[in-house]
Amino acid sequence: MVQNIILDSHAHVDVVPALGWYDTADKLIKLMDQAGISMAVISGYLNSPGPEPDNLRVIGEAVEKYPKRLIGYARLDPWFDEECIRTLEESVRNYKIRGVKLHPAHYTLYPFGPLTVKLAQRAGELGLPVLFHCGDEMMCLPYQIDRLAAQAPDTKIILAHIGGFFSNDSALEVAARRSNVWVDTSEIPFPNMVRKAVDHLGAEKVLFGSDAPCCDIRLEILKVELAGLSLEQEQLVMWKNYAQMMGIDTEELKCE
Amino acid sequence: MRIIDSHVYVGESLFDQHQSVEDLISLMDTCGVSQVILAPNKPKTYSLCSANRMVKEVVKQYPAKFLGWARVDPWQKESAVDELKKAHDEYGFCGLILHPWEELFPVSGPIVDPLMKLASQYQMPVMVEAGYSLVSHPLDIAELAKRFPEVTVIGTHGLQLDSSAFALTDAEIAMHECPNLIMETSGMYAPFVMEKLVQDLGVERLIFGSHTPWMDMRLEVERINYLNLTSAQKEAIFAGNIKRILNIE
Repeated sequence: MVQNIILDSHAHVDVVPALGWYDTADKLIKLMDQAGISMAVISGYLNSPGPEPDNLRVIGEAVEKYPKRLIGYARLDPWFDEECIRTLEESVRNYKIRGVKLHPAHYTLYPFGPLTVKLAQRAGELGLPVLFHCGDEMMCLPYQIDRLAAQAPDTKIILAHIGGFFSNDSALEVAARRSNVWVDTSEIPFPNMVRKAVDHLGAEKVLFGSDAPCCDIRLEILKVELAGLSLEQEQLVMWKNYAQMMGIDTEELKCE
Repeated sequence: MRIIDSHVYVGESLFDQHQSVEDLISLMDTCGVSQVILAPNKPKTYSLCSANRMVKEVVKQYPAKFLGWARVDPWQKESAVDELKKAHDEYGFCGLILHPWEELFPVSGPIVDPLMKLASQYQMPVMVEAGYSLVSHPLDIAELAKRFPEVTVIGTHGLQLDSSAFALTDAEIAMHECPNLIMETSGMYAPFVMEKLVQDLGVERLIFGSHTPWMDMRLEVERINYLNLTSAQKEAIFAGNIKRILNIE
């Protein structure tokens, strides 16, 4: 284990029979316990507004059940414009939502288009970070999200997967040029890319994420351990950066 | 537990993926990997023939540690067929590896047919670098496997490289449709898909590989160790299945 506290900035809870995904909060908590994760960010697999009315309730209920272990993000569809923004605002009030998850390939919008920019700006006003799926597919490319980050400078943007399997250098360039952009380590099988991110950006810009339960949290931790970071860098990546971003009281975590 | 890594590149690399034999042997010792099937990196000269000769020399120097994949460029047509013949007849290589991304060809297209026919004749497996969506999407590999049902086709990376997880479904479909298709595990981030395939199709359909040095052998070995499978099943993935495919001890 890297150290006592681990904050996982990217995991999922949702039950979507149509996709064959049955990832309950209880299931995730078991995996977190097995791997030694203190807290994890969760978002669903379907967007809101979307095919399931009020599907952010799943996130709200998970956070209510495990308030010291789970942090809820709203996975949103900016196509719905004002309705999407209302959904976000209501979910902050009703479900203690603390961030936004966007997967532009799921709803097919340019991340730098006005609908997404408006949503990201509103998230920033509410003090919520926006976690983007960032990979190798259209609508999710680092330089597309870069153009959003420029228009929402007060919003904290996280590029998941350090850009996927092939867009890593682009993701690092975007995170380097924008003070409001971070990367997360989830899913990709490259310890050396974690190292490169820390070298290129400074450890302060790199967040541990697992993308569990799709990915094995233990393997995601091992990836960071194999990156050859100093203890100080590891601690920044594994929990300190995210704790600072979200104002998490880590003294309380140590007592858990 | 014996571990055979079916998927490692060696030599100087056009794409800065250099891997020396000495470093590789040291890494194998660290990871408890006893045997590796080596493919040549694409060298700066672009000459896959000279790269195959380099692998032949490495295998000759360390016959207990290494076997060789023959790497050819299908666009070389007759010359590629001649090179595969040489790699099999003279070098003793155990299979053909196709890299549709670095050699730039669609793996489902007729360009590969002469090589596949020869692989069929030699009864050698064909490893395909999978997940490069324009040239080797899982369903492209399924098309190839269906056209040559007598050839064992090995798709790398769990058949995909899709961080959105969309292509996991295509990979599962390909595995179900093609009994001659084997899934290699490097970078395959979804353990539940591998576990489900073992349950549905049998453990015989998965083999371990690391795609070192692009990926990391240390991480890839643990990827198998962490699977929710029995020791016997992991042993099959680590060594038993590739031994059966290659008919080696």
